[in-house]
Amino acid sequence: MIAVFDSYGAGDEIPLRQYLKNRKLQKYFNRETAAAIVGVGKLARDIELHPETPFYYAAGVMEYEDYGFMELIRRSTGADGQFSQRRFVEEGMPGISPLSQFKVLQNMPSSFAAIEFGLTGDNAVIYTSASGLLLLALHSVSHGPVLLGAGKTYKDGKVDIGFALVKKEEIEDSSFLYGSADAVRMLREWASGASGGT
Amino acid sequence: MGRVIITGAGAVSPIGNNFEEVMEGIRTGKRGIGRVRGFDTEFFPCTVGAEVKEKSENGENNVPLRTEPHIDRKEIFIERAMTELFETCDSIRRYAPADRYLNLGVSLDYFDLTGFAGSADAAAGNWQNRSHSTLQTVETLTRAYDIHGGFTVNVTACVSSTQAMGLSYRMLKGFPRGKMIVTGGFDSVINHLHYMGFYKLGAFSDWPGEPGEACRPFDKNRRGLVLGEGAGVFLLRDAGDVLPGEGLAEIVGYGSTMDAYMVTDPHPDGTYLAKAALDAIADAGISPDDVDCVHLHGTGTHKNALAETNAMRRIFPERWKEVPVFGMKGQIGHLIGACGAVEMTGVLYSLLEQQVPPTVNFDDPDPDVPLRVVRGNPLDMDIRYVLKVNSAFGGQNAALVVKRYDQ
Repeated sequence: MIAVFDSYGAGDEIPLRQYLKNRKLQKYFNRETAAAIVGVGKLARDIELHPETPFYYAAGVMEYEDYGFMELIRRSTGADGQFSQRRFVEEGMPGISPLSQFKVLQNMPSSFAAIEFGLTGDNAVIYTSASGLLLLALHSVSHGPVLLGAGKTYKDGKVDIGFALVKKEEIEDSSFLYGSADAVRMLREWASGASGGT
Repeated sequence: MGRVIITGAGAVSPIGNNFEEVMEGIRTGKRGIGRVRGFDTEFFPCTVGAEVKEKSENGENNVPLRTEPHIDRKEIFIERAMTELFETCDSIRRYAPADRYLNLGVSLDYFDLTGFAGSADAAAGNWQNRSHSTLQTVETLTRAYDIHGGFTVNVTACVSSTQAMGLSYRMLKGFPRGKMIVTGGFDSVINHLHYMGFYKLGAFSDWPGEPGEACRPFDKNRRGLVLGEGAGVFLLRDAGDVLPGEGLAEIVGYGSTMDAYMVTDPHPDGTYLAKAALDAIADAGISPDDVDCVHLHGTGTHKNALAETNAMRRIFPERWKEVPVFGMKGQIGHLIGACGAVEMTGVLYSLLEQQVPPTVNFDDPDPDVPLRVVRGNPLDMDIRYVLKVNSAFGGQNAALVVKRYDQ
């Protein structure tokens, strides 16, 4: 097992430039996607990721968002302090970038990592669950290693991100198969070596 | 390795509020797309959608379900579909709660925009208080229906529910007998925030005619997609547990790939969509020549039809123009996280009725899309294997091979 894990505080810069070959993609990224590119990039620095490597990702329930959303609300609120349908359509939505949609869809970290690193294999994005991520890996039809990832953006803007390249025999007895732990916690422990990660 | 049998279904869609009604809607070519009435669209630049209907208080039939802004519509749909499944499948009682699993697909969490604006939450910036967690919704379902084996919530955009069904198939195939999985998906993005968000992506149909004609899969004059909503759930069981008369169809193959191309467009060559399909066909232990018809993703966008045409060319090199194809979104719109699940009812229709239904709004063939899209009358034929494919905004593809149930 090879695992990486990073945490970025709300004000921390994510070192995307070191890992993103196609700089044009950056405009689509939220912080979790940017952190995912860096995370997979760190793994790919040391090992060769076969294009057909299965890739399963656990997205965190979104707790933080700042893509002009509060500005949308401000512009959509009438003089009476209530939601105004006219203001929403005529003043609120025109101020929102079409790129915002790329920042709220949960499959975007996985999609952009696939584009950047040429991953075309079996895949899925699920919500948060460590056991779900392990089930996906164990039921993969591939006999080779599997790329697992997990990310979460917290209410204070902090981002956690982890990735691991695992063999099925390394996870089939994992305690994370049982219970309701977050996948982010599992990746953190793997990367620290606390649960067999290196 | 076990055989995975679909033995029950529950569905809510723009063309019917239970599985039988949806099947009847497919049979009759019912159109579920109209002007959005479920929430206020005054001043909106586009007002077309495929909403779930109901009988209104004054007795009017087929009126879009209207909900209060604090209600997440998709919660209503999944609850109704689950209720139908559990009420119609006595066999579920044979499984202990620990042997029951739930894998569902969905897309975005609902946000009560109109309630949030002007609220104390807005003043404090606490938008999270008005966001409905789909994860919690599914957790609640597991408690309500005594599903203690485990659950997953797939959020891979438009292939969410197809992937959820694919995972369920793989899990059940590997499990010992005595387990059951409820799988499928549910979704509604027909609300202020998400409807306008998708509109801003520029993919909506700008069809100038009747709303019911706005989504035109594979048609020469196709002009984009129309959003839909609903839910579809299926009971999967091991063949060894299934009693005579209980089987509807058998899932025999699954494959999933990523285009790694662009998040906005499908790979124009259809390379990886074809690979997902060929992986599913290989998983089924059959050859492409054994596939009788294909139920395509068919969004109604220009690029989707071209990509799917090229994928068909790769899957069936010799007979890609001969294999009958069907697209359901002209009737129900694009259900995003639930599209694969509700479109699975179309697959079951083909296998149970031995028909490929006509694709609604396919009027003028496109020379660049020379597929055998069935139009006019349904095509009666011997159907043993149906290939079902879906693709996601983001580049993910998923394919299932579903077989006529032979005991």
